[in-house]
Amino acid sequence: MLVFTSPVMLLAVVSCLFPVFLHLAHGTRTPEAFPSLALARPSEPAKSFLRIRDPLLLFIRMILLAFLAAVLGGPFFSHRFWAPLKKADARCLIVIDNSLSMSRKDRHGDELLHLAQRTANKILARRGARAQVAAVALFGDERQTAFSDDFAAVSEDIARIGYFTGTGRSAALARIDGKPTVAYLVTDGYLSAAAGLRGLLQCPVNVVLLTSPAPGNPIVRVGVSDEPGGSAFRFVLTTSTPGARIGLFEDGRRLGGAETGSDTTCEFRVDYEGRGVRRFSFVADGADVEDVGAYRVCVSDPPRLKVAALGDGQKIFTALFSAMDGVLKLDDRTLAGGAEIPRDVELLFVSGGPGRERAEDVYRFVAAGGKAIFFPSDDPFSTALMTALELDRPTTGHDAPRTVAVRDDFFGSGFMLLDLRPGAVCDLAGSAPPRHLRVTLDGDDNLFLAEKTVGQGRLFVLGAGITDEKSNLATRNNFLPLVATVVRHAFPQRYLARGESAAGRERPGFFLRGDGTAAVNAPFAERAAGPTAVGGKNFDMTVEYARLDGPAYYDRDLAGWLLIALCALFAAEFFLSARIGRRTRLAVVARLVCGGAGIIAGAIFLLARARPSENTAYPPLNIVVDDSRSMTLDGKGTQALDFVEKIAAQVSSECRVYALSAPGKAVGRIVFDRPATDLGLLPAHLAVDNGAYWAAVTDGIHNAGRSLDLQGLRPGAAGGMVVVGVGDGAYRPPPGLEILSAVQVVRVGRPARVTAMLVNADGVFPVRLLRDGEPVDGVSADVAASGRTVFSLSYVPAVPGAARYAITAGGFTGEYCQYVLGDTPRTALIYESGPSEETKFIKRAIRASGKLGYSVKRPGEMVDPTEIAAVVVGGLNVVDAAWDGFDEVARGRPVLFTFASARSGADGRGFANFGRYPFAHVTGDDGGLGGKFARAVFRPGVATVAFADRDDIALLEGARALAIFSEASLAKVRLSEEDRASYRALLDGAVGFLESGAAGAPPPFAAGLEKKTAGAGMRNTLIVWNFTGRPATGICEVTGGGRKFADIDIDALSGVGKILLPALDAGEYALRVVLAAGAEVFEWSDGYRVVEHDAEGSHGGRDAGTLTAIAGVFGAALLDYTDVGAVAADVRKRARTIVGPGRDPAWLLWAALFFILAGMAAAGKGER
Amino acid sequence: MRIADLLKPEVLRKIANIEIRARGVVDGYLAGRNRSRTTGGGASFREYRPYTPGDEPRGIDWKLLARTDKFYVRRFEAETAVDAYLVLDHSGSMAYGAPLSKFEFAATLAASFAYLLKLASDRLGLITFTDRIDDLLRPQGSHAHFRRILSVLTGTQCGGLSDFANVAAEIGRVVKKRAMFFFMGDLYPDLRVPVDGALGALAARGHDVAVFHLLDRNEITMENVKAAVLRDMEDGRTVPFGGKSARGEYVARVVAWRTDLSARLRMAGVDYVPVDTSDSLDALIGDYLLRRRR
Repeated sequence: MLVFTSPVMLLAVVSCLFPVFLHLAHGTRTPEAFPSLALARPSEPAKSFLRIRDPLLLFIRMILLAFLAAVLGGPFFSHRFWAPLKKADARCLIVIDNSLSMSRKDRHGDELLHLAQRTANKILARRGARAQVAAVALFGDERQTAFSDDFAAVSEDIARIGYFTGTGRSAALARIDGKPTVAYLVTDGYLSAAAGLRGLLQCPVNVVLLTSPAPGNPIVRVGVSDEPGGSAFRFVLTTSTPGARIGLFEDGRRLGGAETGSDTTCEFRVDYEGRGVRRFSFVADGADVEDVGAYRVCVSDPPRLKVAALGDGQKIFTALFSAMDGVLKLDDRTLAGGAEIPRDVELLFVSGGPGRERAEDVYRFVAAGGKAIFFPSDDPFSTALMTALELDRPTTGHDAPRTVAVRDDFFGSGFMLLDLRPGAVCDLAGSAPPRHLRVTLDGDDNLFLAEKTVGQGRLFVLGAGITDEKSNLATRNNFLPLVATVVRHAFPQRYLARGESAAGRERPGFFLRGDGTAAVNAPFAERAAGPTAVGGKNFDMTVEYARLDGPAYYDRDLAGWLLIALCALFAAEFFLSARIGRRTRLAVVARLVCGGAGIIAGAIFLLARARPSENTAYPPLNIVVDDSRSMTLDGKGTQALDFVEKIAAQVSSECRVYALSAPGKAVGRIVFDRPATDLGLLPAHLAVDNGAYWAAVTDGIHNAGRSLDLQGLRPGAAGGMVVVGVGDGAYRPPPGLEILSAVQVVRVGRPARVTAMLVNADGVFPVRLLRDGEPVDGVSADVAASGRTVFSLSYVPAVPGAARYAITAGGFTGEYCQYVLGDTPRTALIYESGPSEETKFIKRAIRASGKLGYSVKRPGEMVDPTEIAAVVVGGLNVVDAAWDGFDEVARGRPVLFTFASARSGADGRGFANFGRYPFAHVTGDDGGLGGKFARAVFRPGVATVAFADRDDIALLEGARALAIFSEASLAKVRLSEEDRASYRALLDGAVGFLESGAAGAPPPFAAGLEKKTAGAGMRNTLIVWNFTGRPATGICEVTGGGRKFADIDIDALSGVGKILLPALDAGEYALRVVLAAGAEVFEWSDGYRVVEHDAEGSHGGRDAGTLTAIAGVFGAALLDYTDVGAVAADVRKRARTIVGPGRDPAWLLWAALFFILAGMAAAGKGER
Repeated sequence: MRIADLLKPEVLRKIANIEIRARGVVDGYLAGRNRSRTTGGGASFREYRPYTPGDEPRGIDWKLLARTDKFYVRRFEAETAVDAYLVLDHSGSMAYGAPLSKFEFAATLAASFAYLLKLASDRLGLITFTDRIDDLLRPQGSHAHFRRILSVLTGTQCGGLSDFANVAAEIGRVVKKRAMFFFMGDLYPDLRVPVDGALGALAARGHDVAVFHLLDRNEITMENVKAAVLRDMEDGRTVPFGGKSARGEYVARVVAWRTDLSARLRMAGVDYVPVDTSDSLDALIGDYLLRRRR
């Protein structure tokens, strides 16, 4: 059967009429000049003007144009055309789709199954007399397929095929032995049939797609979800036919029904207890349903787990556990700060914040066989845990993290599946520093999941934190399914198999080709949607299936286009010669050139068509190997070369090897003798051949970056780049002391705590705490350090005011700043129009604190703002409130504004009023879940906005607590005691904020700049400043050696600044950060000395951050050299599959005819 | 038409070869060496002859006498120079033909003859005509005159009716000295007024007259004439024409006309050369020269 890839181009065949007109016009009575008519005898005039002259020329012209149209249409013959010729003795398997969707009727009133049976008989009739034929149903009980040459018996088999209402699939599809077999699948093309095709792919399959149902037949698509835990099932039916009534039955018992509208989703929620198998069926009352029938759903008892939660986000945990009730039977408990993890806990939820020392507890719990779900945050605990789990550097072997396949199509796009490779956690974290893994929330849009086996247990790491103030993860609608799915994954034995409910929703990598429908020309993404994309065509068609390695492209090769061009040239040449009226010399030359070129093109075409239909082209592979001296350590060079060889062996493309130090010159062998690794040469490598797929093999140890400016690099390699780390690294950071955490604002008389870490300092060190250079009495300890040793110091500050603290341990020192609030009572102004729910609770909290008084003023009342330490505003109409009084509020005073959503203006319309008031920052919160201002404003229910000169977590938490209380009060909702306790704690935080603000505490920045650096000097360094608790805008300068490396803007909302420093040459550098906020300028600087070196590893070091930085800059994947298959697979992903007609006989025939025509033209035939 | 088109190197090269072959054969008429059969006082040595009494003593070759001790007399060839006219018809019908029109073919042929005659140092003249003489260049032997002839050939346009009889009579009145005339044209006037009388009159006066009857292939076979209506290129009248019988009849008439014309001109002492303008030019000249030798 001749089909075309671009059938619309066949319309060009109408151009065949043009030569007819030309010949008719040419045959008119236009006089032709002749030298003398003395010898010419006048004849009778022509009777008809429509007489066509030169029919041979006309024929050739029309044939040429017809072939031009044909080649534009992309002709090829389907298997069905060719198979009988090639495989006359092949067995024939006729498969009839007998799903219930085949019960629909076509426009003539026949059921599709009957139509399929008739079609099968036609196929049968076309077989040879002694052909071996079998006819089976697509769905049915398992049985061995028996081929027979008794056509009558086969015809009876066909007639016996009836609708299938059970589950399973015919064994015939999977039990075709290796003998040549041609299969015909007669189906309506719905998804269930597509799933059945998977077993047929072992032999050529001709799919006969039957007619679409009559317009009156409703099409209902059914999605089934057995939600995790199995006790709640949801059936979603989407119908394109308004008014269809759908009924849900369980074993014949009607459970419910609904009338669907256009694109309506109907939900049937069925709650079950107990274990067993139920059979549900959908019946569209008075209508049929696509594959109506039977979705077997396994129902299992919800597993009962003992769960504990550790860390911040307890409220979210509580809400989570509550929401999972019915899915999981949870015996949960919340672990207090120092409580030991009970032995009977099976699943531990861990989030950030419990303190660094708890990381060891979690590690031991998991290593002992426990399972934990970890929501890393940006805090020392998370960092310590990630370090303990070795998630902050590439790992090898069996304990490598791997991808957890969390996917459920029912929830739409599912969760983001990242192809995690060993050691790629840092990659996931984006610009994470090497030893201080920072998991950026990135708008909470990038959920990812990594699984790691630790000891006897397993740990699941999510890519977003759950702490209340930093994330709104828990509020997302896919959070609960995600957690539930992880639980299912972690405890598979607690669940029954899902059964068949999800059958048919898997879509293998099929594509359709050449079926004569518009879908052929649709983008691949649409074509990949499966046979439903071509449904509705009311004719038989052949669909060819093939698997693809990569994305598919329809492509004409050069020979095809050349032939098209030559064909057009031929036509032009013929027409031109006719127009001129005589054959010019130019026309003769053109004819000869075209004819010769046509012959050559025909030969090329025949050769080019010898390739397979689906030709997968792999990009060339360029591998840059670090040829520095450090690669000789521990046999890394051998590993690298071994890696290169394996990659080259696995990737079917050209492979070139470059030495890092010599861009542009492919080498045959690598000599690891370079004293330094200059990553600045990478751009020069990329400039060599941007069309290639690049891989860089390095051990990550690099100590020179002469011209490296990673900020300026752009991904130049079209195929991407992969950075492969080899070896275990030789970096050992120098001994030192690092402050891990310190509370920046404390109160007199209350205990304060600081946590520090000794790095690579072996021995016993006396630890002292100094306050402005003076020892703090009673705070000392002897710490036995080895490797990384974390210790904490507790003390009770007695003197108010800002002070610089220092921890000394032997010769190592770490500093931090702290502000100690005094104990003086102060007064807060509560500014409200009248008693309001919003301020009721803050008043109570202030009274309970005993440290802060308040006075209440109404709008318009005279106050002396200078006497006011803090301001609380509540109960006002945001839009209409008179704000003039705030002009008098002194700068630096904290202002807490809270209101309930019931108040006018809660939609944010009035917030623009704040622009002219001296409040430096306007920020909002949607309940402490990390949302942005806009979301906060427009989120109903818990709309709380805090406006303040300074922002603070405590402020926000307090505001949220106020709001919740207010809402609850207004709505007459009784809060649980647990919620009350939780919110009350938040309220205390708000009061604390007011107190600290009222006490005139210095900005947090001055109190201490928490810097997180990955080290600086010889390596490319990612430095992150966290301006703790202070949203601010400002500029960071990094200077050194007379150079200014970068100015960066600080994120105004998060207070986080990042800068990626290039590797520095030897010399003195100062990292100076200038933060300008209002009139105040804060400055912090630190010095680095980069010394001369003569060997790698002594000053630089291997760190995943370096590799990550390189990979990040180039948009590359970070792979481990041990996983050669992953690298090769990554290369193959970038393969480009060309889908062409291949050895199709139509093209060969076309080329042969063109060959003949070209020869005729060259020989002068067919001219006038 | 450019002069370079008239004197195509490949044509001239072939003509030159022909001239070499024809040397000593063409007697006093053609370009090359127009040698006289008369032995005389020319400059070219021909043969030795034993001395006989009565011969002039200055003819004795004394050096040969010294070597052979015998008397021999040197004999020389006497040479003559002729006047030749190229007579070209440039009437409207001569514009027909492809890829070269008949006039372009005639001009190229005339230029080739001119070159050949120039090599022989003969004097060459040119006459172009329609129904009368339009251009007349008297024979001269200079190179400048040769260039002038070529210039007139390239500058002449086709148009109008031709009248061979009138032109031949006019030539007879204008040219008194014995000369060679190369007439080149399609001779269609012969269908109205026979030209053999006028041309025969020229021959009768002692002139050497050759007629090159130029016809395009289409004029002979009508094979590529497509239109149903034909228009006369000279008088502009149109006639319906078509059908195999009409074509066959036309072709038969052409053949009969050429045969009859050939016979009549030969009877009149005029050399008749039928030319198909699609034929090779050098072959045409070669054949003509060979025929003249016979």
